[in-house]
Amino acid sequence: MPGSSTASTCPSEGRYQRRDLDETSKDSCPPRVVLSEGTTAEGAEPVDHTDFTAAVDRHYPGLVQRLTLVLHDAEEAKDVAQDAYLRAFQAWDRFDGADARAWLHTIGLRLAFNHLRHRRLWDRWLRSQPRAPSWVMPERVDLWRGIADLRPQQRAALLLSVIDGYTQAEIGRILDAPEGTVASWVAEAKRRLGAALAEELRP
Amino acid sequence: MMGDDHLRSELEALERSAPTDLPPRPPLPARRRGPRLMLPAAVTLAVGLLLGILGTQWLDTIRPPGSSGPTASASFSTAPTPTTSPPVTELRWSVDAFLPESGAQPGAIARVGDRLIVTGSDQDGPAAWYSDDGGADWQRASVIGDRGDQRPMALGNVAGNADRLLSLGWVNVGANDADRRSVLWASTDLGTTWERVPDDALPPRLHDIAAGGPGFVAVGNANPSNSGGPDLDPPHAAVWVSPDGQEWERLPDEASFQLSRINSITERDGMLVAVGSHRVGEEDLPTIWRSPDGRQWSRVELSASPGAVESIAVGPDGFVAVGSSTQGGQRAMAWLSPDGATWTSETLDQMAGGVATGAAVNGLGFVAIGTSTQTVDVPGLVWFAPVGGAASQQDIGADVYGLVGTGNRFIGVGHCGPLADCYSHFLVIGRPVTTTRPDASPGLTGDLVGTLHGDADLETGCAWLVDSTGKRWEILWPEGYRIAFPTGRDPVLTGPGGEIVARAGDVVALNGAPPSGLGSHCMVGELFEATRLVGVQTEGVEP
Repeated sequence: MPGSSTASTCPSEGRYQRRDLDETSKDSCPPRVVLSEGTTAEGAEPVDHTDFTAAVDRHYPGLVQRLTLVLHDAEEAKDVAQDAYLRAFQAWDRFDGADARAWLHTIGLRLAFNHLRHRRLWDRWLRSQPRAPSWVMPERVDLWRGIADLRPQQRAALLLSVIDGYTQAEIGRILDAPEGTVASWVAEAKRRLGAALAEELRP
Repeated sequence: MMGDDHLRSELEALERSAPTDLPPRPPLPARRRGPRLMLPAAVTLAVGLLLGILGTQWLDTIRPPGSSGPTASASFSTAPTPTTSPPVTELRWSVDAFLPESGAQPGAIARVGDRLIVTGSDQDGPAAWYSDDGGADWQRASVIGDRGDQRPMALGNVAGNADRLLSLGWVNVGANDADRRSVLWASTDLGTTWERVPDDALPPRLHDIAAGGPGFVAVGNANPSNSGGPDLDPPHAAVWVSPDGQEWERLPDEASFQLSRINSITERDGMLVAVGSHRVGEEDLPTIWRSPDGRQWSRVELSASPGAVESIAVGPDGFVAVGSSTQGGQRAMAWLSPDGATWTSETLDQMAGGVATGAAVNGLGFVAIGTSTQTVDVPGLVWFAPVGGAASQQDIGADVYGLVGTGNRFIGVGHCGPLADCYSHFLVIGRPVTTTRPDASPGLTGDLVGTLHGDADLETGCAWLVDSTGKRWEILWPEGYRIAFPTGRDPVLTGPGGEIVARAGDVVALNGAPPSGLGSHCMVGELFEATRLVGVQTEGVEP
């Protein structure tokens, strides 16, 4: 799995120090948020961030890949994933510790939707781009194009449902959407994807 | 048949194949690249990012090499712009709300001397505003009468000179939006006060007015009906002249006006040039009319291919007419002429159908505005063609209704539209980007010199400087200075008096030092505590 090896090469910070973003490692690793002596950005009570890396770093490649499909753009996915890590770090003291992956994906997906609102015009250009990226295997080009025709919320809901197996209620909490809306997103995504793939994927 | 299991495996495989470690992009000029970490919410960044990122990576794949059309310099001008060196090839656009507290709905903009005049309407009826400082501060003009009239009504295009201005507007006289008739307002104090011209002498269907000939010349439709309905088909143009804008005389019907539609008119060096279309057989051809006095007109068809000229603007080096060609699909076009007699054409949009509906010219080149004819949910189209260069599409993300060229800027008004993140009417300013200027200008010195960036969505809105090495600095601004997001998108730095000191993309020089013991709020970079604002340099020359 491509992400695993990538994650293992990331430099490990035993303790986060005062913030600074390491540009050289951002392409392959989570952004290094550096905070001195475990203090918070606001100078409030010290918070132990030593386990932040251990908890979330391994989910970084998967988050980038998930956002790549939702945003339909690998480069933008990395931007949003990095931003998600910064937000996660800021909110680390409020994380309940239950499911770091789901928590990280929730932040990342919501940021992705926010990001998409800013680039609607660009999105049209991107979706009009006929060529699939080089990393998409030839046999999955139609699938990639089919995903492009879905709304981003539909893409996210479909992936959370089909790949992750979340219930509609759980997806609703992740995407901050009513359960019925999630159901319609998933159904519509399957229907449109099926149509795009000429009946083959239709359930 | 492929069920959920197969769909799952296919999606998983696709997702797992997505790269998490892409090779670096080809190096781009730092100015156009912008910070990669933060989401580029500011519209001012959008042009640079679109041209720099999408343009480099995507545009090249969409546009065939060398397909960007003939250059604007063919017969227009090859003279260097008098205000910048080297020539400007790129504009940076900033968008600010236009008098958001007034409910203003600007529809047109004009420049008379150093004064900018915006016309349109607000909640109380026809309205106008003026600015004597390049658009920074606006004053409401006095519109005598008509305020409070229940009928929708607005001031529009402005023509004239310091002695007398006319604004061609409209009033709704029926149940439908299309049921409009022409209305004129006149001003003898440079647009500070506007007074309605009596309707009884006024043609009902005017399309544009210009100062010239015996005083003013108006073009429109010969349909004598006062119903204000759509122009008759087949088209039949007419021209009116007036010494003062009060009394109008329709010129005798000429053969050149028949089967024609005249959309726009302007004047330069005593030569009046009107534009529109003329029907030949089954097709309308893009056409211009010229007159030295407003009374005698000659017609020249610009092309044997169908299309229409929608608007004409005049600049220091000649005329720019814009419209569309419908040969093989509709495409936005520009026609350029130094004298109104000889014209060359340039295709503006290379990838999608569009029509250019307006233009503005200054020493940098020309900007055309228009709309897409293929989709309804794409904001208006904007193109910039520098002097001596080809036109390129600009990303403003909204509809621009009116545009004017000043010495070194283009200033427009419009509406963000339903797709953009803002819904207010706006003032948009295009400022030049010199291609050789690095992020941190060598002309400014200080302890920290960097380009202003920001993100309204980060925390409650964060701004930072990017220095010449690409490093981001979150700033603690000197006392009295603060960052605001007046449009919800672009950051601006305001001074102690509330005046706008710098906008996104401007280079800011500060004295100060990184503080100790202080934590950053926005987490975008290292903290810098500024003690003094040394200077600000906007891109290009004009501040």
